[in-house]
Formats: sequence, C-alpha cells, structure tokens
Amino acid sequence: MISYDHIMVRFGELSTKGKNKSDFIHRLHLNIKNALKDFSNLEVESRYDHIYVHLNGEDYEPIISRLQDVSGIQGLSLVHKVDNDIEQIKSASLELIKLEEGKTFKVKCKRSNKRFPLISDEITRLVAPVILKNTNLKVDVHNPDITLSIEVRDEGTYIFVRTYPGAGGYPLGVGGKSMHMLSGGIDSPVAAYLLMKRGVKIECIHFASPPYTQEAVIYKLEDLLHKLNRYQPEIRLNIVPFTKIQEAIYDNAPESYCITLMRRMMYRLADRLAKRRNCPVISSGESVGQVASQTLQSIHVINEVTNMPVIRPCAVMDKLEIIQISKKIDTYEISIRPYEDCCTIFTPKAPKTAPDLNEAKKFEEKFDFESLINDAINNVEVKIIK
Amino acid sequence: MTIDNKIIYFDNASTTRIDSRILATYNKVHLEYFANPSSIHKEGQKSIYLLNRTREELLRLLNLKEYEVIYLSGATEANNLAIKGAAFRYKNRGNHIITSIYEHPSVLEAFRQLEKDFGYKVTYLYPNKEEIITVEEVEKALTDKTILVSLMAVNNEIGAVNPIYEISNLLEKYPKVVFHVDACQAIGKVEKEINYSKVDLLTITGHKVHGLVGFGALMKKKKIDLLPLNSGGGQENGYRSGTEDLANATALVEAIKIAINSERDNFLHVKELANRLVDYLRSREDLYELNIPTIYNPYIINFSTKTRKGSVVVEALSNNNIMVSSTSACHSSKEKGSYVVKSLGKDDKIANNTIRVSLDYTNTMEEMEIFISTLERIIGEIR
Repeated sequence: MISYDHIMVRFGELSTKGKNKSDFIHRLHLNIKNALKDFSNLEVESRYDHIYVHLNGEDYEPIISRLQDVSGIQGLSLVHKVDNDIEQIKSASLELIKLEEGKTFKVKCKRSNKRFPLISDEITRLVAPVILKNTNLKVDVHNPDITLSIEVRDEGTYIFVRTYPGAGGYPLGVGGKSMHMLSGGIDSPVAAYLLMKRGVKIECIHFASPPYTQEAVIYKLEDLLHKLNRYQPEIRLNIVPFTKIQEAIYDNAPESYCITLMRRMMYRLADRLAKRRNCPVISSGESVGQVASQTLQSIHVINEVTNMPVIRPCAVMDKLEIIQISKKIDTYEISIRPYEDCCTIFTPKAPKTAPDLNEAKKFEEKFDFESLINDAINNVEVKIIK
Repeated sequence: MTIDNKIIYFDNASTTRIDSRILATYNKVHLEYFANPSSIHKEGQKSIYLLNRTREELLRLLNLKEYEVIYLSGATEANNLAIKGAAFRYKNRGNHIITSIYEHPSVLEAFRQLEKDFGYKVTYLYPNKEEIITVEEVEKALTDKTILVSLMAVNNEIGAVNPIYEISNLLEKYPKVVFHVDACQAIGKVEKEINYSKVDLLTITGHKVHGLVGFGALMKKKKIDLLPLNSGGGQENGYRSGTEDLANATALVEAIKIAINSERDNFLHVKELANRLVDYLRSREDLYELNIPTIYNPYIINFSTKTRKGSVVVEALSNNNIMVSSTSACHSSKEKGSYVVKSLGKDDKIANNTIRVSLDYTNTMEEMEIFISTLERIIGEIR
C-alpha cells in the first residue's frame, strides 16, 4: 500500500523577507531539528522554498503534532515522492486519493522544473481522468472535498492531499530575546507564548517575596515553563529576591501607592537584568485596565522608570481571549492553582487607579531603593527549565 | 529527634515520619509472606494464618470483643464505608443521621453527599464552649428516625477530646442507632486510652502513629451489618473486596502496638512541650489567641496570630525549617479559614489566621525552644 514518506514544511511570512531569508531558514531548520530530536530516523533538509522532513519509516502523526508547535511554519503537508515520470505520477495520485474520504476533488499542479516535458495544465488533464475512471469521485474546481496537489521539481515530483496548519509567526530566535516578567498568573504565560510565536525568545524574571509568597510558587512556574518548552526548548528563569524591597515600600508609602511603587521597582529590576543579559526589550502579561496597576495612568507612572521598550502582547485582549489561549497552550490549569504570589498578598483595599508620578517619586525618595535593587540583582537565583 | 538534624517537624497530626522498626516489619512480611492469603496452597495458608493473627492482635490491643476487623486503604475509606455502608444498610429503619460540624472532610462530605444525593436528613452538632460535643447535645438530636451517629474522638485541628464513652453509654439505650467513631487522632495519643467497647464502628489508621500511609482499618461490631461499597472477590468478609495486604496489616498492628504501649510516657513528654508552648502563647495575648479548650490536648495546639497573616507565618517558619500547618493539611490549599475554628464561634479574622502545632513523642524541648524563639522573631520581622 502507498504511504507518505515526507513532510513538506511551508514557511510563514518568511517569503517577504528578502535577503534575510537564508538566515531565517537556517534558524527554522535548527528549531525543527531540535523539536524532532526524539525521532532518530528523521532527516531534515532545507531547500530554497521549503523544508522537507524525511520520515524514513517514522510514524507521521506525532511528528506533525510537534511541528505544529514550531513557530515560523505556515503549513505542513504529508507528501509522497515519485520520479519525474507521468506514469508514476498518475498511479501515485490515484492511490493517494483513494485513502481520502469525500465526494468531489480537484487536481492542482505546479511545475518548477521547466525541463519536464508537460506543462502544469497538461499534467492536470492527464491525472484527473485516471481518478474519474477508477473512483466514484466527481470534479468540483470551486469547492472540492479533496484537493490533490502535484509539484514537479528538479529532484522529483511531490504529491500531497493532506495539509495541516502551522503555528505561523517567525522562527524562534530571529526576533531576538526579551526579558519577560513572569508572575505565574494566567496572562504572563500567554504573553510569553505570543512572543515566542512571533520569533522572540524569552528569558523570565520572577519576583519572589518569601515568606509573603510561597516557595511552592516556584514549582508552579517550573510547570508553566515546561508547557512553554514546546515552543522554546530551553528557558532561563531568573528569580529575584524581592522581600526587602517590598517591606521597604510598605514601611515608606501609603497603602494606596504600594502596588504602584512595587511595579516601578519590578521594572527597574527587569531593566537592569535585561541589560545584563543582552535583552533589548522587556515584556509582560499586562492587559489594559485589568487591575489597578494596569490602567493607562498606572502604566504611564510605572513605565517611567525604564526607557527600554516594553512589549505587552496581551495589552488589548479581553480576559476571555487570554483564557482561551491559555487553555490552548495548556497553562490555564496550572495558572489557577491557588498560591499567594507577590501580586495578591500586599493588595491594599483601595489601590490608586490614577497614581500621580510626582507623588510616587516623593515616596520613593524616602528610602534608599538603589542599594536594595543592587542587593537583589546580585542575589538572583537562576534555573534553566528544559 | 530532628529529621536531617535541621528540620523541626511539628505537623504530626497531618502525618508522622515512618518508624524504621515498622518499615522493617513491612519489608520482612512482604518478602517472606508474599502469597495471596486467599490461596489454598501451603504458602497462602501461611499468609492467612498471619493475617488472622493481626486481626486478633488489633482487637486485643484496643480491648474490643465481638468485633471484626475490615482492612482497607485508610481512614477516608473507613469513614466512607462506615457512614454510607450503615446509612444504606439501615435505611428501612429511618433516614435521620447525626454528625458534628467540625468533623474531618471524609466524614463531613460523606454526610453532605447522603443529604444532597440520597435524601437523608442530617443534624450537624456544634461544639460547646469547651469545644466538645456533649452527651446532652447528642441526646437532644435523636429522633425515632435516627439510624447513625458519627463523631470524631479527637478533633484534628483543635485537639478537643470528645466524651466518646459517655456518648456510647447513651446510645446503648437506642439499639436502632449505629455509632461510628473516627479515632485517627486519638489512638495512642490520649492520657488514658478511650473505652471504645460500646462503639459500633471505629476508624483507625497507622500513619498518625509512625506507620505507613495508605492503609487503615474499620473495626466493626459483629452484630452490625454494612452495605459494601466495593464489589469483588468478597475479601474482608465481603465488606471490602480487594486482595488482602498482609504486609501493611502487620505494619499497622505494630504501629498501634508501639503507640499504645508507650502511650502514657509519650503523653507526659508531649504535655511538657505543650505546656511550655501554651505558657508562652498565653504570655503574649497581644500577639496570639488560643483556639484550644481549657483542658487541652497536648498533641494539638491551635492558635491564631492577631497581628500577622497566619499563612505568612507558616511560610516563614517553613523557610526556617520548622513545619507546622495553617489549617488541616487536607484542605489548607483549597479554602480560606478554618471551618473548625469558625464552628467555635470565632470570627473570620481568627479563623483565617490559625496555626496548628501538632506534637509527637519524637519532638524535644530543645526544638520547642527554637520554635518559640523563631516564631517571636518572625512575628517581629514580617509585616
């Protein structure tokens, strides 16, 4: 019986990227190899407009599912390869289409090998009658149940029927690296995923305030990052000791300003660590208006401490949209585990939704936060999650 | 004794560290008596002989006559079998069942299920000022439809010791009523072993007294019948199907034996530690409120922090290698505040900030001094 022996990987937006294209393909090639490293028989081959995964007998289903998590892939097709010979093309086309269910079909052909004696239209007109004669399928060129594609290339002819959507975006790493603020809630892992999908690698920064936050939160973060390892196989987690800063804020500022100052300190720390770790940007899961510290006025006052760009992929998404993505990437159930994290324990009854920048600065002048920040940065604990 | 020479373990009502002697027994029986006690060959007979010996020994240790032992997976299963098994078996006699509002979840939730899904009428008794369920309260709740009363011997969060023998005397006069007692926190951990001889169903487990987790027993008066919850090969006289676990049964009996034989000495030792702690807590009424009765059970000291968040104090103690609970470990991550402490009529602020120190004979006065000084330091440091 006929079987599929290759997977054809189609690039996403790469085709628009001109001279950077070969870098992108190279990166995607490496990412694919990394994602498929558990399958020892596979070969990955890059060509100018596609990457081919040669199955060499491996079952395609788990491989397709892994590839669907790799960013920078627009679509995947299971292909069968034959020689550039019209008789082989005809019989393989018939065999492949017999494996499918449906009532109508259409044949599509593309010929990049201009030395092949038949033009695309002629190939289509030779293959379709074979299918009509040997099956119960009818032709429907507008809305077919099955589309059979034939691509005649220099090295052989690829025939495929089954196509799967890819994750889209850019290959991970081509977009550089971001220092991502990870709290452990629902939003920050979703933001991380959206960045990765766009090709941006992340490194995480987390603020731990023992004993106000539980040690168990770190296990929760590790579980979350394990889920994100599907998109980025190795993630560095920087855990910043935040207790002393938090206490100093609590001692020096009115309750209503604690959250604002806390977030300002967090951004200062993220800024420092991002520079040290060669990340040109900071990112977070903040969503406009969701909580007091995420009103536009709060974001303005908080963001003032850094001149680095801050990317907030969830900024204008509804909570329900964010939850939907978190369920899709399997982080939701972990995110809702009921631990106390730094955002929930010092929560005042009436936080400022419209804090004043000068006021915030005035409270900060009351204590030597610079040395506290230095201490914290020098005592970062690092975990590599893979 | 400290674990790893640095951890102070004051969470013994959750579970205790395995005693190496008991683990050795478990391993030995596993290796030497591996045949299925239900097999008729020589090795199987060797196993059934030992299994029957464990049952006899257990009944002897607890001074129970005319009882049978049902081995099962632990106290939760024992409580479920006792409560649902009795309620279903005797439903023709009536549909009223009684328990208390501060039972362990494995009792409380079983009653709620019977109430919600099976139409039983439930009376939930409240503890009095001394934190116990009185004979009078039980008597007042009885009706001619009552078929089951289930009460714990010792409360797992506040240590209150209920008058089980007195209540069993009362219920003796009501032959239609089955009396179940969850004695998990009581066996081997009271001043004088409670007289259970008039109790119909008794739940015990080994892991609260340095035995293995995942095993327990329901002691059943022979005249009481239960509807089995497990269908199967008919082991344990048909009350709990599933291959017998001889090694665990032997280990359970050894754990109970060690605990009961040293009960008095252990109690006096633990009482010294508890007195020291209670004296300290009483000396700082500005910081703590005790949630224990006047005559308290030294094994479980429950108090609330007045000025700091209880869960933060527990976390800070943990970071200082001292393990205590904020509420019972069985539900501390799920809900806020202790329903047990609330049942004493205390307000949310007290119930949300409880700390349970549960002691054991393995703890030392040195550990207690470290605990007290660390606690006081933490209260001073945190916000």
